[in-house]
Amino acid sequence: MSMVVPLSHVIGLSLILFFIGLTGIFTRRDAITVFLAVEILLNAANIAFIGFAQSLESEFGHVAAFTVICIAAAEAAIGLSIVIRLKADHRTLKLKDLNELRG
Amino acid sequence: MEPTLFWMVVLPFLGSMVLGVAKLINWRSCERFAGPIACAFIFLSFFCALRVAYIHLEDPHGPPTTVDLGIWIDSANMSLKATLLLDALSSILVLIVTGIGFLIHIYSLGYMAHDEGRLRYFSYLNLFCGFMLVLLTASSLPFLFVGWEGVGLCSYLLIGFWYGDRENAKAGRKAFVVNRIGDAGFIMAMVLAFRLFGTLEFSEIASHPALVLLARSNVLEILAILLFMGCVGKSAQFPLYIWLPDAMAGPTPVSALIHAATMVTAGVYLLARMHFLFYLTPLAQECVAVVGAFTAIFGATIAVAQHDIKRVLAFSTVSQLGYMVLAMGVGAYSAGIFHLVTHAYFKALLFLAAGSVIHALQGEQNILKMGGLKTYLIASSILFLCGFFAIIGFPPFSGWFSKDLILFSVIATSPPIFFWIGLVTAILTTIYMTRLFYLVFLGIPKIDQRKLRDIHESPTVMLFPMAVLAILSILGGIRWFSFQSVLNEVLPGQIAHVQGADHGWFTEGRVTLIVTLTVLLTATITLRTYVSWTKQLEVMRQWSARLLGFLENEYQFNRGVVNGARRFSHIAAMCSQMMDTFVIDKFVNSVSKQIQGIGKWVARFQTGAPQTYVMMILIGFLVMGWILLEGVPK
Amino acid sequence: MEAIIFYIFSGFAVLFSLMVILLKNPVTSALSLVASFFCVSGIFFLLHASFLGVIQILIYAGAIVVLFLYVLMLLNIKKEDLIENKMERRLGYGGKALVLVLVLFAFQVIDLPTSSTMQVRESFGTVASFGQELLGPFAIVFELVSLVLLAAILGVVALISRKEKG
Repeated sequence: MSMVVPLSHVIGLSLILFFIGLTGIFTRRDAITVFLAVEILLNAANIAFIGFAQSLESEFGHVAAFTVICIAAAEAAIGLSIVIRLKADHRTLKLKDLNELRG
Repeated sequence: MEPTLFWMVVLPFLGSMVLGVAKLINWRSCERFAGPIACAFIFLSFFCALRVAYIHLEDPHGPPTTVDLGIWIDSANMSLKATLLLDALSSILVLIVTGIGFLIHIYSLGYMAHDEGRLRYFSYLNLFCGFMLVLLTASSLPFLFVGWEGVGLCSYLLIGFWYGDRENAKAGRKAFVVNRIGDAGFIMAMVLAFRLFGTLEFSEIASHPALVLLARSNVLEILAILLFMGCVGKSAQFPLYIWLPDAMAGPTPVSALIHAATMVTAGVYLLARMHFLFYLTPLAQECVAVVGAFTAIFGATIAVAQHDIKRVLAFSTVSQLGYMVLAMGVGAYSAGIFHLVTHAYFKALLFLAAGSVIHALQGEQNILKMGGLKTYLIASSILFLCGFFAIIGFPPFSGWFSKDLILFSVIATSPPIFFWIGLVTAILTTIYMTRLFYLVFLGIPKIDQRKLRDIHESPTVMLFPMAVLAILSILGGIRWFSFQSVLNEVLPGQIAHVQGADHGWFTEGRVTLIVTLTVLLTATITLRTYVSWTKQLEVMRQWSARLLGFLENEYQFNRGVVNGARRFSHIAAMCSQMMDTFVIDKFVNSVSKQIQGIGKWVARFQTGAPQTYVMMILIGFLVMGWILLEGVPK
Repeated sequence: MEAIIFYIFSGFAVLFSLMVILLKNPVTSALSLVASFFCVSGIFFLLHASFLGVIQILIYAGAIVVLFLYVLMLLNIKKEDLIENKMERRLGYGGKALVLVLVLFAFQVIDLPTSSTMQVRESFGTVASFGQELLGPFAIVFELVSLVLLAAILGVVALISRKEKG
């Protein structure tokens, strides 16, 4: 089977998605939506892994992407429990109110 | 390696340490045996001194005895040896120190019998003798300086012996500090000497070729004057004499040993040791003579107006030291040392006799409250009389020989003014000594009744040393006793070619006659005045009250110096405090403020919002990427 | 032919991602994310990573985002404004500017082949092949990942469960 598109295009897509995710992090103001942006980031990384795996004809990229997905799952679980805890203790999810580490 | 010499120097130190250890291990009867132990050690030292000095007195030009103690300092460009050296000059002085030291130790057995700090006293006294011997047997300037400083230390310890009274401690401190000023000169002299000659051994300097090349040059003059500064401090010349009268706060035997016979003569010894230097520096030598002459008359004028028995003797010491320094200044080195020896005899005797009086009167030192003691203290008064005749220069006592020799040397080599100063000083000496003798031993008793009850003559242990010293004072001038022949051999004192030569009208015989007659006349007149012409005396006293007051206060010199020193230290303290507040504190505070400011600036990055942190991570990543990739490729 | 599909999928992925970050309603954002994941999965299939494409749908879209939606609904999160005050506006602009810089930077740096003539074997990316890779040389990774998941479970329990007061 042959490659569908040149590698540079795949990586280009990965980059674009990555930067969209970054922008999301800077822009969004509450905890959950920031998390969603982080998921976009991870997804973009996965695309890059797959692209390189195809290019180098090595399954390692797939394994890496798989690991990323698993870790993302674990991270989402814990992150969301933190969010629940935050809501329970501080009654707000707005990041600007959650600045006890200030200074 | 001559062991006797080594032991002679080390034994007093051992004695001091033994007593110290005894106190440390709390040996029960150490107080009781302290005195005899110390006496034993110093006697052994005297014995060694006799053995080893004998050789040099027999043959003054023979090779010196040396003990090599090894290398003291070994650095890149300086290697100092520590060697003990005994030649004819130091032999004489070593015998004086150990001999008179031994006598005074015996005297102290009686004088300090009831004092609680006996052990400490004897320990210090032995230590002093040890250091003095180091000073005398040193073969180089720095090693001499070790002894120099050591005796200064012991002087401080012993002056302030009864430190419970603040005044005594202050006197000790004053002695040390004033001495230090002289020491500064000594140290600078050592530095200069090393620079010029590359060595500090006496023998090597004396035979150094550069010495002759530098003769009469300014550099050498400065060196000589710096050395003399050390002498001025140690031997209580003007203006660094102020510590000596205050030093009378110490026990009387201390005054006898340290401030009459030994330590104060260290300066004179130094001049004799370095006589070859002063030969080549006429300007410095003149300086020495002037200072000596001035000190002699200065001390004598003040002594006339004192009413504390020990202070009279203290100023007398200052004056007699002036005589010695004057002799050194005119080149009569052997005469100066001769007077040093005789002065040691009679001044120690006078101090011990004064101690006898003080002991008998349970601490009274004011001569206006004494009188007629000859009936109670027969032995002391006779012995005092021996010292009296010696000091005024009554023939044939020892003092007559030495003082006469000095005055003759002075007239033979210097402008007449020096001789007249010397003569006037002799007159004044006679006056104050006669006054002292009269007011203490003769005349109508004015003693306090309570003290009169317990009056007693001193015990034998105190009288014996005085008797020995009295004998020496009487016989010390006679040829066999006086070391004079030895001195003339080793110390060229321009006397050799002066004696017998014709110097105008003033031959030796004539000078002797003038001096002796003057002294006798003065003594008689003074005595007569006190005995019979009391009315005239009263008139004279009223007439010169103000003058006497001025003299009594040492021309206000002492007070002036003390006040000046106080003001100076006050200013120094103020400057120091201002510097501390305005400069140092300011600097330190500003540093801390800067750091606080930086801290505040950094804290601004801690917003508590995770997005900021993400941004910062990104920026860091960018920077790292830039650095690692070394700019943008393509 | 397949290239065009790739480009269509990638275009939609980008579009949906933008919707995730630009929309106000969190629920709508989450749903857009699901859509984006679907597109990406399609891309994976096109890149001969069949197993991972399936995994992407199953776990990422099917579990993780669903979890998000559960929490959203549990906490009853409502609509809200995106930017409120000056400070946040500045932050937003700054972020976007930075991102732009990064984009340009990235495109400068990347130097990759622009041809597509490479061939891969038939069995590339299949389950069997992937399984052999994962459980062969990278077995340790597999074990470690399971440990991480265990830790996550424990963490969740620790964070959520709390003794009732009183």
